Amino acid sequence: MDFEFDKEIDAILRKARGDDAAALSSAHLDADDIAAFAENALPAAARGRYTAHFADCARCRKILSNAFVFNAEADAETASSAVSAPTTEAGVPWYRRLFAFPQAAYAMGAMVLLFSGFFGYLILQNLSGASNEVSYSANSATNTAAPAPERPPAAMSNSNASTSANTTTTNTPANTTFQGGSTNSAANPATNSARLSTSNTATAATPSADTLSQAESNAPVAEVQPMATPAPKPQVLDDADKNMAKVAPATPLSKDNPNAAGATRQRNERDKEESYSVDGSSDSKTSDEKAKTARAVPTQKKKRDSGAGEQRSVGGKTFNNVGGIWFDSAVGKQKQKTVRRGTSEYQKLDAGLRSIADSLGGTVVILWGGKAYRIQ
Amino acid sequence: MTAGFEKHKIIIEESIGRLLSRAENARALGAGEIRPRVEKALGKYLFKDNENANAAEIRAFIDELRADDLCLVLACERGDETAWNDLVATQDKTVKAAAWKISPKAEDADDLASSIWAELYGLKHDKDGNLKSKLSYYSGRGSLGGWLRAIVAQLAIDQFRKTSKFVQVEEAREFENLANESSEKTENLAVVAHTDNPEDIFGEKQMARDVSKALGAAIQELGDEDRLLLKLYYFDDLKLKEIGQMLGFHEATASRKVVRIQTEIRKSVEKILQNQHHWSEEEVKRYLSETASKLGISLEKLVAVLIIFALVQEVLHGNVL
Repeated sequence: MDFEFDKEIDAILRKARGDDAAALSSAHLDADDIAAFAENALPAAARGRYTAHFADCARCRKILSNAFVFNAEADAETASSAVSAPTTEAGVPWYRRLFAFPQAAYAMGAMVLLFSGFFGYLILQNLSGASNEVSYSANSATNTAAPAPERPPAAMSNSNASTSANTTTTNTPANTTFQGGSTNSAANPATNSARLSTSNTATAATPSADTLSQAESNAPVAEVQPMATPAPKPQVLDDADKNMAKVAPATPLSKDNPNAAGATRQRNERDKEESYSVDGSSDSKTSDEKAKTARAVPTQKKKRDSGAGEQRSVGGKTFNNVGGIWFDSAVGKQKQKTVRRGTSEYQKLDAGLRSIADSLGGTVVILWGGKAYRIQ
Repeated sequence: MTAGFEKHKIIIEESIGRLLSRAENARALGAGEIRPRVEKALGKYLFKDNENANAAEIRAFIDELRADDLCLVLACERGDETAWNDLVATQDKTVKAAAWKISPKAEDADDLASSIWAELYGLKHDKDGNLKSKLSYYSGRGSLGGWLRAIVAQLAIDQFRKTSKFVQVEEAREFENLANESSEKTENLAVVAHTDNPEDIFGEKQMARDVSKALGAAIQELGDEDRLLLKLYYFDDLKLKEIGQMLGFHEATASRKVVRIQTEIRKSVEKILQNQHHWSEEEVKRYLSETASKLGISLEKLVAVLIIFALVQEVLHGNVL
């Protein structure tokens, strides 16, 4: 209903309300007339007559308007009281009730709390993330500093970044230096990372032969840790694994390393233990099965570890991960022959060697047949 | 009129019989007790305007009477105690509610309600010694509750008029001194421009009188219904919806009628001012515009205050949306 009201006349008429005095009527209408008119219950002719009177009689019109308002209010009250409470509830749509004052206020309050909580959570998340980073850095620094407390704080702090770098760039050992030594208890694999002091200025592209041999001679066995997590039962082996299993018992370490015999014996014992821990089988297992078990463990372990500072035993050999490169503990000062996987030269290598290299993955420095190979 | 009753005697009797049968509680009334009241209503509302009303109109009129209410009232007039108890039991709340709405003070409301019941019972005696009760005016055409509310409003307004200084409203002032009064009231200084020049002041008052007379004449030129609609809307503050219900048309129709009436009044006022008071067209437009704009400003402020007040009330009562 959008009608163009004449605002000028409208305002003047509103002002003129107090001056309405047209209304002197010799005979005012009685209540019955007024009530019947208000209820629109008069015949048309009578209605016209009363309309003229009401139009000119302020008193009767005032009574009429009052009576009409009373009737309207009474009807509204009657209607509201006649309607039962549940019906009233049902009559109001749920979305109207939702926006009714108390509900709307509660909803608004809840929204404010919700958003406050959300933002607070975000802030706490950011803060805790930062603190986690700090604590992680502190832990890393502690681990790094524990075996070498003489390192300056700057070096410790640098170790954080370099540690993470090592975990991600396992094939780039340029900045790593292996520091095996007398202080290495090797009881905890985590401490191996402590022995990996990283230095951005280090230039050694490959581990020092001295340090490698020293590490091997000092702790050839204790460095090898039983798997913390039981490996699943050995799966069906492929041909390469079978070949490896055949080759593994004939590890020729004793030829090159005087300590190799004892180390091999201890490794065999350790393999035995691992095989127990893996599948719970008895001593009656064949050496092939043990070899399978021994290779199954690193396969699982490889999934968990990123490599740095880790030690694995594959095919009867012990490998240390130094900067992402697996070094055979038996490798000494021999000249390394670099062979790339996938090349014909690699295919010509012994199947056992290839199996070990494939099992470890990445760059592997291994002593095989008295020769040192660098498999990339 | 009497001829009409005689002519349609059978129709009236049949209709009264139906009325008694329609009543849930006829209060042991007979057709003879009801007939005088029915004939009185017929004479007042039907034959007065249409002496040649036909049988169908008479039948329809009587069939539209409120049978139960009329029987209750007639029984009360007859002195039926049960009917009185029923009347008080069913209508006392109605009377008090109306009295409370129309009276600013609780004491006045109670006094008003008591006065109503006294008048219903009857305070005076007629020449035959019977109590003269207001109940004798009830025709049954409208509802008993509506009639009682009208009684309350009537008594309250009459009492107010007796005690107030607005008795002069009864006099035929015909919109006298609209702008003149406005100029005399401090709060309405904006309505008419003021100058210190006595000649200008006189001129302004004269113009205000001219406009007031023209406005009154223009309103009188309207039809009865338009005039009533206009006054109910502007003077009695009824809403268009209420006016529509009362006069029997839709709110939209009422709104269209108001617009049309405004147009007619403008034309009439301009015509009267120019033809009878020799105003120029420019003077008419300027005066109406200035007066309306000055009134409009105060109205806008009033509306803004009312809106804020209503919103605060809504919030306090929890009725937002």
